[in-house]
Amino acid sequence: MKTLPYLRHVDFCRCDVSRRRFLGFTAGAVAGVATSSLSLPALASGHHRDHQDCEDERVAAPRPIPGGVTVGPPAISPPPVLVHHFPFVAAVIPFREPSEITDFKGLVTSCRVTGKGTGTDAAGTRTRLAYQVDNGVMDGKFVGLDGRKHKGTFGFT
Amino acid sequence: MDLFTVNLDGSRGTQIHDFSFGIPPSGLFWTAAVPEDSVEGELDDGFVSFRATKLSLPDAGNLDNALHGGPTVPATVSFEMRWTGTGSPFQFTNTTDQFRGTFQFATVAIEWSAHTAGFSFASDPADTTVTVAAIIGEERNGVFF
Repeated sequence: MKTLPYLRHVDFCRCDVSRRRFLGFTAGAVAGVATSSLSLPALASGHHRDHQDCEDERVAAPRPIPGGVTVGPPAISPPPVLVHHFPFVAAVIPFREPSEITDFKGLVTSCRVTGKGTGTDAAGTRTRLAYQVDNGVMDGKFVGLDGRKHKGTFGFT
Repeated sequence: MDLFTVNLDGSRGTQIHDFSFGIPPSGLFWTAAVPEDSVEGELDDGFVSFRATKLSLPDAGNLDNALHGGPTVPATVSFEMRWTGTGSPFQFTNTTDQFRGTFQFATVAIEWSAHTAGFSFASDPADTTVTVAAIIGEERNGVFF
């Protein structure tokens, strides 16, 4: 039976958080604007733990980003599937959206890494295996499916 | 988080495990709320860490099964990973995807393990991680764009 971990996490109370756990960029640390014609206000405000516009103490489910990639043959069998995600596979500008959540403002990370390790079966037989990990983090404010503002910490894996 | 056999020549072979959060009806992709203290970061110093212990993640076996909603088996995954910024932070806007922010490319070191019935996996030490691409930053999109 498929477990749905996201259903177990939605009741975290978040508005009682007071300690600083995540510090953002300060303006002096940021280089020039890259590939943008817009004047960008500084996003950095020191941290994301201000509470003044958290409308709901319970974290609702966030909305997926509207864009994404379509995965089809030969990666998977038909039919193709649109996934609301852009794999982060090249550290070049321009790049696609790192976040998985829309109506979001906050810390974001994304990656693709590879490596090796060892698998062990029930009989104790050890086998060398390869891995690929595409993990990420989103931590900040968002408008949930309920239309209200929330704060939340989300993992992508 | 995917596991593959290794071919005799050392290349990646067939996928045998696919651990992910799954896809709810909203379409939110492989993403779920996690305890807030699982994430720490200081972007001025160019680092973000993300850790989990015995996180329940269904194992779909392979990408095809994961994306088509096929059967899964229960699994737990533990990991500790750290993004370390490289180069200078920069501001970037993507008007197609409607997001903007301050970003920094990064490298990642991860050490992780997984357990299912009759199987366990332990990665090599974190310093053997190969970063294909990684990024950290502050982003705003959607209504905050």
